[in-house]
Amino acid sequence: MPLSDEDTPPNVAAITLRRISKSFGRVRANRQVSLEVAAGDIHGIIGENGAGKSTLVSILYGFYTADSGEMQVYGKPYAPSNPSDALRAGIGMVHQHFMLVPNFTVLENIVLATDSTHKKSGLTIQSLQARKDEVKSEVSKLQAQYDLDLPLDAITGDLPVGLQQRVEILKALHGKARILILDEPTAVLTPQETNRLFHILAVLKKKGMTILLITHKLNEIMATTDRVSVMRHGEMLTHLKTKATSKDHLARVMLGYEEDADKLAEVTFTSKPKQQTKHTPSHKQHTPASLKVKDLTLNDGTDKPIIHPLNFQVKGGEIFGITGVAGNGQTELLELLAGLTPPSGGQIIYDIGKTDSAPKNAQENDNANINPHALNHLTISHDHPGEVSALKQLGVAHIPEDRQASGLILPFSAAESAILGYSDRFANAWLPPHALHQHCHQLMQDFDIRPHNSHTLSRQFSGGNQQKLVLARELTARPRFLLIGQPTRGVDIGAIAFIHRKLLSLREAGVAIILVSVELEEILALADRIMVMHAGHNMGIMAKDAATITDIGLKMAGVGTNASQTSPQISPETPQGIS
Amino acid sequence: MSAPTKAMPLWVDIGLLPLLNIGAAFVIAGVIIAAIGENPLTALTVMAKGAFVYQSSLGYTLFYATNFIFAGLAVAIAFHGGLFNIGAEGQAMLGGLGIACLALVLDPRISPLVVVFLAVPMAAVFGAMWGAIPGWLQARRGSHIVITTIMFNFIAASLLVWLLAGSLMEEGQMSPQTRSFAPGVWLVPMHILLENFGIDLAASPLNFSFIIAILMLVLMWLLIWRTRFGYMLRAVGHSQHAARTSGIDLGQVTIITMAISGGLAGLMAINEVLGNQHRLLVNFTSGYGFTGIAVALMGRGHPFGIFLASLLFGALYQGGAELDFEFQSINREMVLLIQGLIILFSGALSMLFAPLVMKAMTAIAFYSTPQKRKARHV
Repeated sequence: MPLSDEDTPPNVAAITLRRISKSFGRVRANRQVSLEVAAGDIHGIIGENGAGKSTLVSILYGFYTADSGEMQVYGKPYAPSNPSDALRAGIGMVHQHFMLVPNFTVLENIVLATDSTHKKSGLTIQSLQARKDEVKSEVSKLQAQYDLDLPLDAITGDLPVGLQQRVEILKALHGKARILILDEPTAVLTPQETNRLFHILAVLKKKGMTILLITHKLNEIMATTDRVSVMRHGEMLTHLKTKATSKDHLARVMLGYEEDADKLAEVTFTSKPKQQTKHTPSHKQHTPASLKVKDLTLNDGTDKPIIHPLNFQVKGGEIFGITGVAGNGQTELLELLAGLTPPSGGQIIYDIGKTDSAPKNAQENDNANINPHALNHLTISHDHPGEVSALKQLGVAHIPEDRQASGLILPFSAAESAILGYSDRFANAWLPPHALHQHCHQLMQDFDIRPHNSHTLSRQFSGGNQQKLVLARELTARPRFLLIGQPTRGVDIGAIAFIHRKLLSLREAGVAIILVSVELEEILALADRIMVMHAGHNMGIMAKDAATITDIGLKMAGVGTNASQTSPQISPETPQGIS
Repeated sequence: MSAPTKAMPLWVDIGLLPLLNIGAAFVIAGVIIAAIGENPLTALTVMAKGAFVYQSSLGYTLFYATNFIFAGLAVAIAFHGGLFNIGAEGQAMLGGLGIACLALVLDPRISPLVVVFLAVPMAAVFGAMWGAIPGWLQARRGSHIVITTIMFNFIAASLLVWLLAGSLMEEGQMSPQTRSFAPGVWLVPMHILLENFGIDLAASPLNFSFIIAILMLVLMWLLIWRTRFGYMLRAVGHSQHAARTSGIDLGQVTIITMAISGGLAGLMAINEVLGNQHRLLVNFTSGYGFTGIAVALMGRGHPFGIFLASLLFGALYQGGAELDFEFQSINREMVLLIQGLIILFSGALSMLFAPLVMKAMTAIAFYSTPQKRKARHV
């Protein structure tokens, strides 16, 4: 461990930031932030929602220009006006949202990145093939050197997320980066992929790279970094040696609460949330709402199956977790359930059940849409594809996996995004702006969305606050069913705890929740039953108590009894049989 | 995602940059005028006088601007819905056809006032229909709107020629046009209208359509930013994914948007056919529908911007005619060239000066803040 180097610094620091400040309008995202990253270190930056981590690295990478303050890279003054400057200074970045052309091959993406930053072949006439051959040999060397296994001729969009991330790393390495910034790199990875990433980071470090890791996951900070800096409300609070600190201490510093032990425990996952240990769904309804999936299949354009016959049932008052390695049919399943894609076969049956004493949520829904023909059930099949609006009438809320592309409209103000999909309930023809903003203010208060300004554009919120905004919108509609995909992807720790609490309280209120997530910790902490998917197959449905990480991991990898291929393991009639 | 999102103050985006763009276009046009041996400043003066100062010139400028307001709005509302309507020209032709069909049949029979009241919506309805069909084709059949609207321009033009050379042609005449409508059907010219209020305006083709155009500017602003439909329209325009996920019927919004867009383009015909020519004739649209694209771009899709851009293009049309009249060596094509340059700078190169302005502003901020800080420390 070259940690001792820091005590007697013969080397200059890789990155030095002095009193960096940046404001967006009235929002002060960074206030007098200073940071020193020693060469050859893995340095973590951790902080809560909107703490200013992303802004800071965006400044470092040349996306934003700091309002004041100065930067040095390897002791030289550094003032990037765009990312190309950063790359030329030896700084590479792996973004939370990958910057890859999906229909290019891996190699083409690397050629593109190198050429556009170094302007090598700007106007020189060199055949693409010759260029590719040249880059290929260089890249192969890098691959061997850094132990980065990757099919160079594969179409990038076809690769799993973990490998796409590797393309980004390779891109940076080929661009001669000596400093690598990773922004929430594990937000989209499975545990196995995360481990592999950490292995890569260790190799990179051994070869002399400096790594700046932005994350909200305390485990990762503890497992990988040499030093860690904590940010809160745009300020840099402290710099610590990872060895000399603990998870609890870090969490306490970053959240700024010292005494609330319960909240802290929940946040750090050191103990599981209280509510879920005694799971007693409130039986307010005579027959609870239920969602049945019968022999549901989906084929792609060429009749290749994406989802093999699925059977399961979810009742009001339970959280049904669906997990698996990303790209194994979970995304498509969620879209099927949300009525966005028509199924190729089978049925999805939503039934709101019979209400004995109508619960609060049902009442409000019925008042909101006075429709004498309002159905209490709806069946989606190939011949009767669902309509999102009809599902909404029934009380189906959908929080999509990709909140930036599907959950929000980024150029819209928060107030406008806050009624997306519910504008009919909100107003008939006129949308009076003050009412819109008032509504949004209420949501922001209830869900602690920051900055608390309904005029802020949706794109200007941090990931966590964007998710809270979507959540606020969907939950305020008081759904009977909730379909939620990757609820905490790219969301930081404070918001995660908040979102989890919300989901648990919805379950208590009798909502049927389908939770699709690649975060095993999340699935295990929240779900009552867990279905693992692999290559579009149901690998088995387990009750929470019977599920182990090893078992789930094996099923995720496609190992184990693949009962669903021939006969469904769980018949829709006996969904509770296991639990 | 790829471009860094840098905040630009509103006054720069909709004020300074367009002015710089227009300035650049005029500078280059000036160089060309100098190159053919005329004095650019004299030319500019003639043009400005021709557009605003000479008798009845303001009327003409506003008359042309009326066409551009309708066409610009038509293109802009489609833009907001993520659609590129190139078919304003054809939709306007159909609007004219609508007026002609109605007026030719009814004006001998019923009160001309009733005919006028019917003819204005008729123009909108015919235009809307001609816009809605490509909208439907895109929404339900997947045909791209850019292609279909272009083709519909040709179909409209051919239809007009066929009818005007056939069943609608004035009897005993050789030119492809209808007979004049009964004078009661004509839209009242502004100089006559304003006479009633004691305002003296030189005679020009400027007519009541101008007031309808202004009304449409306000209505469209309300529609886009104050109604639920406008909200859905913008949602679809910004993100089809998110709009679909939220349950908005993309196809329906597309069809309705194109109908509104076509209707606005159709209204252009009330200015030309009902207000000016008082008959339907071939090519009465004279390319205004295409210029509408530039107007919408320059106006940044905002009704107020469209109003300003329409004024500019109206002035160019009118002032350009004067230029043609005054100078031997400058002809109509030179005016088209200036227009082309303006379209080039405000459309295709609209962000040309943005980096420069941003750098200047950063520099100003840079040189002004350290002094402040020093002052505070001292």
